Amino acid sequence: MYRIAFLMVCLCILAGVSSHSGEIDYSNCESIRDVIERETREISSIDPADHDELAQLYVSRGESYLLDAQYHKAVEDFQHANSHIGNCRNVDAAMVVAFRAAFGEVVSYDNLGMQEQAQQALWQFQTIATHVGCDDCIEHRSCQETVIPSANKIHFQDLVRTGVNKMHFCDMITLCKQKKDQGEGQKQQGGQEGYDDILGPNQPPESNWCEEIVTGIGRAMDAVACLAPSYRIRIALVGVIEALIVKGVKCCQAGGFWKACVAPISRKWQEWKSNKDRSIMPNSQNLHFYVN
Amino acid sequence: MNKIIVLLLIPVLFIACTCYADDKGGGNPGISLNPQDVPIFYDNNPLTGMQSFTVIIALPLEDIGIQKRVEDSVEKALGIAGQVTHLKDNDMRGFGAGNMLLIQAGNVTGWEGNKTAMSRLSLSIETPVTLDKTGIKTFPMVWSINTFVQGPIDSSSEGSLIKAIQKLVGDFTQNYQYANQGQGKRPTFYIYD
Repeated sequence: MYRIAFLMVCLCILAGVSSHSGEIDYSNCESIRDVIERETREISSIDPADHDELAQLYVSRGESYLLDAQYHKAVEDFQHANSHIGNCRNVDAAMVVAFRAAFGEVVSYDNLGMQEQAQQALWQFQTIATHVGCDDCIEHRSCQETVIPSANKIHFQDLVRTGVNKMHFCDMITLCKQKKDQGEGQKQQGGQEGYDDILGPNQPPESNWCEEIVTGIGRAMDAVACLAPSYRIRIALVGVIEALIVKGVKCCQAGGFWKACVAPISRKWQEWKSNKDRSIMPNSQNLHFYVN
Repeated sequence: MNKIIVLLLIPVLFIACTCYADDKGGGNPGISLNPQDVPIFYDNNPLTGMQSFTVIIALPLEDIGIQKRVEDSVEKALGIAGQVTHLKDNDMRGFGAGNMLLIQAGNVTGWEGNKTAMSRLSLSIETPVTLDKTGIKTFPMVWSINTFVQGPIDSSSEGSLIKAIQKLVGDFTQNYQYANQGQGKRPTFYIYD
């Protein structure tokens, strides 16, 4: 249950950024085995040169193996996914795949009792988790704009490959930030649209407003997480919260529009509060209400 | 002369008897579980200067009716000390207040993880701070108070639960008012509907 809860946390974090799973038709699948079979068929039908698709598919099937407790096969798929990442054209998707694969490896190795590998995978996961995300703030956009100039594609691929192989994502992000600081990361007025559901003044009334809101919401969510009777579920929920806080605070520090930065954690908070108000407590039966 | 000695002895004996009675008849004078459990009646305590709070009540109550009545009782008690403002869930002004007033409850377990016949109710204040020595930004609890009820929280009678929470909120407001004497402005308590 512990592992499944963690996997659900992972899936939750990735909700909305994982694009491929939406394209596979799972309608006739009645079990996880059916899902694996479906994904295997899909993998065999993809052009071997389509690294973006293959990376997505391998990581998806790896997660399915994980759910089916086939940990060795899961690890193999996560490693297959990593091998395709260096050649992916879509950097954002590649980083998300790397994130999912690293997370899956942590859980798989842990289940296999391979503590050393699990620890190494955890370190990789933490490194990626610190830098992946921020999909709706200025920092992320500028990273996209500055790292994917077509003229510099080879250099970029080297960067990604290095990042995946050695997990030097910090270098990539630092590069993005440096370029942004040089003037390429201007705030865009368009970035303020789409957050009408977040109420508050558009201009932060005081310094640290953005960060205080993110951390404040996080603490409020902690209080809800503490309602879970099981320590393991609490840990899983706190994992969700911490990921959202890290994402939000990074966005705030990068100078993103504050509503965009707080939106992910605020929306999740609203879901959780609604659950609590309806007496849907965070227990093992209701976990999907909290992490989906 | 004798009369003066007798007059002097009377208060001395009175004080001695009072102390003895406290020791014998009063029983355990109350155990402080940690320093924050003790109401802080001194100047510049952490509550000084706090103007607004976001109120979060997280109790493991399945009964929506009881949950609502507990929340109403908290609101009523806080309304004595300050102004209660209701916010929609997506209104971030409350979280921008910076200070969090949390009311939580949980069953008390022993050191071996065994359940005891007690539940704890806590009121705590958390606020963002930067640690002087390390520069670390964190969101610690700066003030708290606890009380206990018999049995699991979800089986406690509604009456005792409400009274226990009112006691916590009452102690908080008393401390807050002491810490903010002479402040003309009443605090704002943001409650999310």
